[in-house]
Formats: sequence, structure tokens, C-alpha cells
Amino acid sequence: MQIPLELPADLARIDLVYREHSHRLFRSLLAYTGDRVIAEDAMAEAFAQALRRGPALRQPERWVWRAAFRIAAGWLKDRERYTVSGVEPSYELDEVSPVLREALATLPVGQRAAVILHYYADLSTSDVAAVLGSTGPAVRVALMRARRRLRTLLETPDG
Amino acid sequence: MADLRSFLSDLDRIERPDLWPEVERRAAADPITTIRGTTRWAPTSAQPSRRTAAMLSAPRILAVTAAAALTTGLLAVTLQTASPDLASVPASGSAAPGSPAPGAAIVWDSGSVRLEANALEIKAGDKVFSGQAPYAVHSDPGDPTYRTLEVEWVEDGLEQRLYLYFGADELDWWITEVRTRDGYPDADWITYDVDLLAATPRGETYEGDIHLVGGDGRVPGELTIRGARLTAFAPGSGPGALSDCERVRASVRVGAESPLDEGQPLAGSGIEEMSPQAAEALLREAGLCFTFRYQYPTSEDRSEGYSERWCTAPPGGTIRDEGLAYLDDGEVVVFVSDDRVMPVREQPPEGWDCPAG
Repeated sequence: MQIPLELPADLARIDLVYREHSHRLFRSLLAYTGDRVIAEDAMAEAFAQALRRGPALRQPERWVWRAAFRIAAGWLKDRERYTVSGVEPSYELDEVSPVLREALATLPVGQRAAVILHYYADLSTSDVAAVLGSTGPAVRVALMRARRRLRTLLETPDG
Repeated sequence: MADLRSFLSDLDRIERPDLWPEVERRAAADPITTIRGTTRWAPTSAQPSRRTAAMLSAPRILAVTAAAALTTGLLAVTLQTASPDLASVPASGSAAPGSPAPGAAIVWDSGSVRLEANALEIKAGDKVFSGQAPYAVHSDPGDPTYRTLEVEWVEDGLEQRLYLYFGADELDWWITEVRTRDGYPDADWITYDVDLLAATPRGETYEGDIHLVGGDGRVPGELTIRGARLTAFAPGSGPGALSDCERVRASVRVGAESPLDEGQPLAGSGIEEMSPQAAEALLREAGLCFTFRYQYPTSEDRSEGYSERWCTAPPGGTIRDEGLAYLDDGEVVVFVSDDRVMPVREQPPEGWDCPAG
């Protein structure tokens, strides 16, 4: 006989969000930051804080996305602050094609986040704005600029 | 160009590590999780918020800048004025209204910000402060998006201060910065790296423990507030309390000088190439608070000119290059230049097409 594992309601709720969203969230975070340590830290911290908040979260999946990107953005900002002036921050994404890696690395972080959240995570522009603490028009502009920038890169004969 | 969605699907090749054990470990850990030297915060009794920390924090608002900028000036004032007040106020003898909760060891109320707590401890190197001494408390009342709580006392002959800086938008308030003194006779600051600490709906009181570690001063600092009940934006400062300009200000990133900057509401909008009338329509659609400055030469050699304030698009001219800016209160100013030489004329008190008063 299989005995069902009973989890407290809040834990079960966050556990479900983890199972359903963590793969895509982690990939999005890694593509956004280009830094595995930051991506892992941001995701673990976002879910941990979601667990602590328990029933206060009405839409934990949305909250986790927002929190994770917010935490990652904070780390990127810290890294930029402590990086020697003139040194380009590294962007590492070994798991994907060089073309994609170069394309994402080419984008400013704000545009990169918008592209990943909209075109990979399938969030609407208003949801992207909520995640990034921006506005719908600003996100649409960021996407337009990103597409323009990527078009230049990807429409090369070999691209 | 290849379809972006299929192009990005290559990301599916990334393996996700199993982070759930780490999630549970962190969730069960002390409210403070220190990650790579930076203090992160989580409330022990978090209150529901209509807006999450994540949403709140991305726009690190101008209030942070204002807080930092004000600190130096405020210091100069308080150093001169604190001492006479210190002896006159009992440790938990708030002069402001409001009954302290039973067991409150600390009741600091400046009139605009109130902090009650069951216990307070500030460790500065090997020195420990409890706040149980005559104190002086005051606030920079700021505005609907910014204010402070500044408490100063002397304990065992050493000066101590607790400075809290608050930011807010139309929905929530939070702590943007925390500082204490380092316990040296020539006291200096210990700054605690906080981000969205105690994020709470406007008009509501944050309740919970606060525990922070700071380490950028001469000695490490540790601040613990047990059973904190903190009210920074009291009832009446709730949603709708912000003007359009203040709402813009609350969403402006630190350091943003122009609404055209990346991440700002007009970035990439092309507004600088629009006619003033089209720009006005865009500004209204974006919900921004704005005015125009209509600039024109007043002498034939164009060595003299004049600038009028308009609340609608002026009748001529073009938007200058780099022709938008933020004012301190969040108002967007659009600079419009007209090459025609015109005489100076008398202005309506508030500007052209502007509501009175």
C-alpha cells in the first residue's frame, strides 16, 4: 500500500510551484545572469522566502519569479559595483550554442531579462514588468530594442 | 532572423540542480541568512503585502539617494543639538501619542515614525548597547515617499545612534538603510546593507524581529530588535496618497536623471523626435506628471532668450536633443525650442494652460 506523503498545506503549495516552475525559472535565471552561482542562490533564496511567508502569498508562483529575479538583479548590481572599472563582467552559459550565448551576452541586462521572460518564460509584457519592477511600455521598448540588436547579430550570413 | 522563441528553446538544454534541500535549509534557518557576506532579511512574522519585496525593490527609489545625501547634513545638525535633549527624555517615555504594547522596552516616536520593541541590542565590536538610556528622537518627515527615524543616546559614556531610512510607493513602505554608531569615542557609522527590510503595506505596522549584521566600519556591527512594531507611514498615507509626480518619483531608479534612461518609462519611446503635441499625448498615456519649457530667443542676434512654463504642449518648436529631465519631485520636464524670435510676454502665475494654484 502506498502511503501518501502529507505535507503542511503551505509547504505542499510551494513544493508544487518548485516542481512546476523551477526548471524554467532556473534556466531563465542562468540565461539572465550568466552566473550559475547567482542563479542557484537567487532561486534557492526566493523559494526559501516563499516558504517562510507561507499563507501570506496568494500567488506563490508569481511571487517566486519576481523574488528570484529581484535577488539576481541585486547580485548583478553588487557584482558590477565591485568590478574593476573597464572590465566587462563575465557571462558564462556553456550549456547552449555559442550563437545564443553571444546573443544574450550582447544584450544589456535589462533587455536580456525582458527577452528571456517574454520569449522564453512566456510571460506577458505586463507580467514581465511586474517581475522587473518596470512598466509595460518600458518593457515593450526594451523588447523592441533587444530585437533590433539581436537582428543585427543573428542575420549575419552564418547566423 | 530566427524566431526568438525557438532560438531561446536551446535554453532547455540547461540542467537544473536539485536546490530543494537548500531551500528547506534556508527556510528553517535563522531569519537572517547571510549569503556571501551580504545580509539578507526575512521577517519572522511576515505580514501579507499587496506588493512583494521583489516588486518593490527593483526601483530603488530616489529616496535612497535622498537618504544618503541627507545623512551628512543631518549629522551636523544632530551632533550639535542632541546633547541638551538627551537628559530630558526618559528611555521609553515617548512624548508622542499611542500606548505602548505591554512589555515594550523601547518606545521611540518622532511623531511621524514610531518604533516599539520588546528588546533592542546593538553590538559594535565588543561593546553592547541596549537603548535603555535617555534618548533624543526625531525624524526628517520627508514626503510621502521618504522619511527617517533618528534616535540618539549615550550609554556607558559612549554615543550610540539608530538611524532608519524609509522609502515608500503608493502601496508599501520599507526600510532602505540602517545605521548605528561603532562605539568608539570618535564614533563613526556602521552601515547595514538592507534592501526592502520590513516591507509593509502603507498605513500598516510592521511586526516582527529584525536582525542585521553590518561590517563595513572599523568593527562589525549587529543589530537585533525583538518584537519590533514599526510604523513609518501611518494610516492616512495609504493608496492614493501620492500625487502623480510622487508616484513617478517612487518608481524612478536611483541615479536616473532622465525618463529616457534605460529602464525609465520613456526609454526608447522616440519622444525626443516627436512634435510637442505628440509628446504630450504620449506623456498622458504613460500617466506621467509633466510640464514643458518653451524656449525662444528674444533678440535678433539670439544672445538672449526666454523660457515659458507650459502644462500642455506649447504652440511651436521642437523637442531639443536630450530634451527631457526629471525634477526632484518626479515631474518630467520637456524642453522645447522655437527658433522664432519673440518678445517676452507676461506669464500666467502657474504657466500657460496650467490649473490655478
